[in-house]
Amino acid sequence: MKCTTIYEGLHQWMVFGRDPDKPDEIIDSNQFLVKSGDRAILLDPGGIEIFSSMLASVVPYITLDQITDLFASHQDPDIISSLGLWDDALPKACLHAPWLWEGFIRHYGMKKITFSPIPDEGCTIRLGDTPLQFVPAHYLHSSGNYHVYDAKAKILMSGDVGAALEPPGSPMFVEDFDAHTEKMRYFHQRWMPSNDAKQDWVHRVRKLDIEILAPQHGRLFQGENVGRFLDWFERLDVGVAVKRSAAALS
Amino acid sequence: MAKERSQAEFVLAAHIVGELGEVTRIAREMTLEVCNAKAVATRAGEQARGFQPITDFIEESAFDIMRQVKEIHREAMRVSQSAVAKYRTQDAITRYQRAKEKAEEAEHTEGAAHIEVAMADVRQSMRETSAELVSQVKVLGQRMEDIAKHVRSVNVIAVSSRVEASRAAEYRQSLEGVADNLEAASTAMRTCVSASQSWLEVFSQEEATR
Repeated sequence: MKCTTIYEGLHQWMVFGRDPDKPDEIIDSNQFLVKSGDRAILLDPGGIEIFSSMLASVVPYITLDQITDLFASHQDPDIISSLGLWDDALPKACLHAPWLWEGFIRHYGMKKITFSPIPDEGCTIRLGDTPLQFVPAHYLHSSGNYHVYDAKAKILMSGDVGAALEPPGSPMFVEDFDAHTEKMRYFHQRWMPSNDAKQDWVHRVRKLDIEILAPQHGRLFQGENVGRFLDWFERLDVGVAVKRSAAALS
Repeated sequence: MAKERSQAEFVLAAHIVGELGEVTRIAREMTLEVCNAKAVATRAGEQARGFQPITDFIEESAFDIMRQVKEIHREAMRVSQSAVAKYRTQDAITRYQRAKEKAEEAEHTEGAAHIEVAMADVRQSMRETSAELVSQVKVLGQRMEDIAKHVRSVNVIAVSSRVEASRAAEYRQSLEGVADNLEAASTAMRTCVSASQSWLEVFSQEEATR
């Protein structure tokens, strides 16, 4: 699995993805590691099928007992179905995940890891000296959903917002924004159910100072492309893909 | 080196991968160090005549080690994947067993026989995965032995480079610095390879007891 450092300061952000060992039928995903002092958190650690690659990719950079926290933006299998295996690898870790999904996420198997429910309004944790804010992103796409904002690194890990469906091995960052929109349009129109929720999110996120917007699938947005994405997403009508497909059939 | 037992096999496999990653990092640093050594040896000219071929040898060794580690990393990844597959299959057997026990307690016990049939397939899968794992671990052990020999040879080069550095007159101090760094790299790599072998030993012991 490819590892790219996207922030290197007093703490670090790394993204793991573009897994060559992944079965073709499985959607590629970006997993994030934030390391601060002698602690680290895995953000959306991924599905059970990529667990081996993910674990092996992480250990050259950090010892397992330094991974004290896990974060699941929502309940989907590509986000956290590996939980039952992490439960054995990181028995003392704490999983931060939407309170709404606790009873569902536990179906993946969690006997040793502690569950820390994130309230609807979000919250902030400290990882060493680094505050990480869990920003509400409900209905984008899950009904209990959060993103992670790091004000020091100016990174917003944006879950499925900004995601794109792309062939394997695509570059880590968006280069041609206009060309990239075609890879994002269907994903957002189909997976995102609520225009109200989308507008509310855009309004709140515009107030954050963001250098990198990092979705869980596809490429990351950097610099001016962050603003371009917010403008594009604000204009996009979501929750409409099925209606259009049905109309086309009649 | 004593390693903690009773960890899941896939966690042990990940420790091996981690140690190998560190060997790669050190070997990469060696290639950078050799650039510095070559520059010093070139400046020293005749005074470091014996040192120049050593720098070529160091460079070659560093690239060889990186290549070998890449291959071993692939083997270790296979072991890791098989260990996860075995863990999941073992988990499935446990759950099938529970289902069978529940079926046996039920009013109509025919279900237990159906579950037993399904369990036979899972057990066969378990045997195959275990056999594959044993074979992969054997290959990994052999490859680790090869790289351990290679890393030991780096230590020999470090000793030779120190001897040649002592003859390099005014460049002696710079070249002794190169020899020091090479010796430190060799020691660090030996520690990592030895730790990998130690994890593999624990892995094999765990495998034998399960």
